[in-house]
Amino acid sequence: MIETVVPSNKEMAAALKRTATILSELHILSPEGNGSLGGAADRLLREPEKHWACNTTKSQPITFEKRTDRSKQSFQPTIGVDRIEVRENGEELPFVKWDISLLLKFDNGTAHCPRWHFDLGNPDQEGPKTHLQYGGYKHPNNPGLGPSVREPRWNTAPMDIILLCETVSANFFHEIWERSLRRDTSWTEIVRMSQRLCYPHYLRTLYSSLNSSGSGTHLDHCWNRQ
Amino acid sequence: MKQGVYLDDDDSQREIYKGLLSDENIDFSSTVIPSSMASLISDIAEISPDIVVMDYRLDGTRHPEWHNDFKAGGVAQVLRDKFVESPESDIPLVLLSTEANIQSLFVPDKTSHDLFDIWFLKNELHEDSPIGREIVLPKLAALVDGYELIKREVSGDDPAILAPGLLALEKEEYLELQPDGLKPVLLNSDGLPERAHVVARQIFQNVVKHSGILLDRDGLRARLGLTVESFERLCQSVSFEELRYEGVFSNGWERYWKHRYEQWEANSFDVLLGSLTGEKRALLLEEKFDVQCEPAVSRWSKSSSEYFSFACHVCRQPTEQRHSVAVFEPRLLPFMERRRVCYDCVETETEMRRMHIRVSETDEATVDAIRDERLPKPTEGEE
Repeated sequence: MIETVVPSNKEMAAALKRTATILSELHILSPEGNGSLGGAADRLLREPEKHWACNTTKSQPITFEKRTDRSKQSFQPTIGVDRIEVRENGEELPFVKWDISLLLKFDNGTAHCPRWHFDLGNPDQEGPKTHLQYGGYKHPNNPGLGPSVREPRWNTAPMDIILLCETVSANFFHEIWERSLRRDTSWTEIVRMSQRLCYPHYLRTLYSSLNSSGSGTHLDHCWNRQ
Repeated sequence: MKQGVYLDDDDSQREIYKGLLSDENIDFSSTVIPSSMASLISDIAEISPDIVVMDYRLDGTRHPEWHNDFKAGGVAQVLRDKFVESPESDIPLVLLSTEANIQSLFVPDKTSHDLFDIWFLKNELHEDSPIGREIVLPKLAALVDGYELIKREVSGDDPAILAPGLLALEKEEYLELQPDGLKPVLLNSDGLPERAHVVARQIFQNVVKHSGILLDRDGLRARLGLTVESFERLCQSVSFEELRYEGVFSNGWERYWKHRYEQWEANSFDVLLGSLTGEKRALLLEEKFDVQCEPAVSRWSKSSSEYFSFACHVCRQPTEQRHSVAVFEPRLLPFMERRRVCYDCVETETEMRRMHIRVSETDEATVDAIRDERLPKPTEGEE
């Protein structure tokens, strides 16, 4: 089975800086987003080598260039990282904290701003350990625009900053991604480093549930244990 | 004492500004009359000044024996060509003109912008100006000192230490900082230093004047999210001197290293101030340093529950990203921050127009919505 590989703080900082450069040159990342990723990388360099944490500030999240929806409304994909904290943890999940979100921030102050929020379930919380949840953006002019229901908490493999950047690039900047990123070796190397951090633990859980001759589903395997 | 030359085709203006430009650092008493390009260049070469300041219009005076059909841009171009041939004579070129000439002639003449290190308005040297000689003249002296330092550094043997030398950083600290995109604009394709005026322009325009690796006082205050008064009080108790930039041009422009600020922040607090609202930052600063701290207030939302991030490029007040638009900046290097303008200055419009600020294409619709009053002001903070 594939092992989790936790990059050192320096390796992740270099990967974040490289991500910032590549996505800025392709006009996917905004200059502010470039600064935000650079700041996160600089802070990472001050972290311990093996057990590091990474974040962005609320005053300067990772913003991408603006896009328009079907009604020609302009929005800005925005990644916020409250905290991602990792450690080498053998067979266990390498994340101590994992709290990252993607917001589509519409310029029009009255529009609904979709937001997807990934994090670890609290030990006493019913739901999958690593989950994706919709909502959580407090609309300044109309708090009622946000969803009133917190569920479902989707069972998902963790994604770090780089994997979420890849998702944003492939979905919202599809032509550029197809033309200049999808098969670019230096970019895919960066993404593969994040894949080796994020996916093996989830893969092992999935494999184990598929292989299990006894009772229990994959969701059951991933559900927070009391 | 340094030597300066002031060029003006009008005799009385020339005498007035030679006097106003002179101080204990630079003597502008030499007279060069712009009667023809050839004589002017030859006179300047003879004086061998440390700085040349010129009025924009040098073609306003008609004289039967004069051939002065040129403006400051033409003179600057010829001087810059000369400096390429004799790099040791490279000096700062400064434009000093009236608001009308700057706005109607210099601003549209984009080809000559890069020839001058900086421009000032003539009335900024007058006693009744809010800027005044005490602000302008030290900047001229700083340009002269800066060019001397640059000329020394570019003639050094090791191009690898050019940037740390100019920025007055130890090599180790520079290696930690590694501003992405700076080295390629200081060194040419052979890896050798560019000419002094090219290096001066890159450092001055992209490092000193533009936030990125350095912060000015307004930028520092914005990161702390404080009012002017509280920031000044805090500066009495907290020494930001260790954060000070001491490299080229630092004696004319007060700047602070952003990476040292971030280190100070990390040493002082368990949280990043940028993840707190202005209100919470002020409470934390007050508690930590025992100084009364009032949070800044967003000019748009009138609230301190904002995540202040930078100083608005127009009003210089602490501003939050969500209530600001990006400035159109086609020549942004990777280490530079894109400048932004608060919604309030977009709405007011006047100062933006005077400063010839263009907004990024992607924010043009937001500008229209603000000015057409279609963008509602927020009623409460965001979580």
